Amino acid sequence: MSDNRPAVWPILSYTDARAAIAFLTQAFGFEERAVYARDNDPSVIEHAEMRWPLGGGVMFGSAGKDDSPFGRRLPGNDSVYVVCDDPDALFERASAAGAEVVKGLEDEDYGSRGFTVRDPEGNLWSFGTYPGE
Amino acid sequence: MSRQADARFASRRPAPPLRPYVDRYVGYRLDGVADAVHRGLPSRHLTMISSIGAPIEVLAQADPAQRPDVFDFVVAGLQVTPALIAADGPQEGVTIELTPFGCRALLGMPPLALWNCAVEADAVIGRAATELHHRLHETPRWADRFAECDEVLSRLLRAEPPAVDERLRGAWQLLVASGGRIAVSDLADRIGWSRRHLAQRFTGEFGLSPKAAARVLRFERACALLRSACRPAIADVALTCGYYDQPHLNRDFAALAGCPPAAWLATELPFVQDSDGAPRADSPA
Repeated sequence: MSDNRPAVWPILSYTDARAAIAFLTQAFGFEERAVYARDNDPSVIEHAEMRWPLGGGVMFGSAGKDDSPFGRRLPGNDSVYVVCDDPDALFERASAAGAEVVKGLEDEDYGSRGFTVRDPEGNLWSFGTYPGE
Repeated sequence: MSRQADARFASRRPAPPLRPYVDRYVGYRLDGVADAVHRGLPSRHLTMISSIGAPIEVLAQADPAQRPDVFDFVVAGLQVTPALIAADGPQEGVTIELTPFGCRALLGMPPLALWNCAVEADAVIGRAATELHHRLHETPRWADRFAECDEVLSRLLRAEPPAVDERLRGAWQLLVASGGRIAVSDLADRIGWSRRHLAQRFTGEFGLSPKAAARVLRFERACALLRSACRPAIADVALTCGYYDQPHLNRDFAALAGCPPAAWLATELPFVQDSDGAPRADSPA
């Protein structure tokens, strides 16, 4: 519960942004803060903000939602590192929710314990106890 | 197990802790009519329907992109088009009328996630669905069936239900209280957001825009009046519910029910529950 006002926000895009909100919530425990959907087509998410309980978060929208450089990005190519307290429990939760395991639970020589999974659209999510220097 | 011959329709409010999330339980027992089709109409509720006996056969989904399907215990999201359900054989079941806030508190997801779709309940609430479906089968009396609903839903209720933004909650409640008659610009002013911001946030939560929600609420009220015991004239219903005139009501019926009001009344009368005449299950059956 450290930082209520994160100052750096990774921005992703998803083909099925509605499913991504559900996946990030169920598989990892992100908390939905605000979701903006197109009012005549709710399958298009204009903007979603998901918070991480330990601080920070990510933002994303539907791929192809507009003609801007952001709207035209191909989804599934991003990677995010997230600090966690209990990697073992989180690994179990994420695998149970169907996240594809890229690298199983491991203790790193720099003292971190964590793992990496792929979300349904291909983005890589690494979780570990290493909090940065 | 022999079923006690109690009412064809029964309804009850849920236990008090569930009331912000569930408006009503409605039990139904119908004989079926050859070739009959029941219309699952848009409303302010997400509906969970657990069949008792024959499963629920959806002939046409609210979303034409979703294929027809058969459900034991269906969860249907908010929608602006009808679903067509086979009604040619005996049917029995319990409908749980979930508020959009109940979707988060009991199903753990925003209404947007279930917008315009129907899914088997076990995909959403897991074993609780199988358990409730089974228990309703084993329990003959409506009053006891509703008690089973209370019991299973209370366990789903999270200790701290995820909060819906207060302004979104307020916007929904103002729309409902006005019967869909408040103008979206007035609604935005009351909430303190721009129309565009309100439209996108509202749609991001509920899956439909404030304008579409207002349309559903007016339609729902018109349906309730049309089938009420006094059976008012369609033109009077149109005026009471905030339609400019009867053709506007007809147009909304075509879109939301897929047929004109008179045709809906004629085909649905064996199936609709008179909101006044329904036997109450909280009196011993």
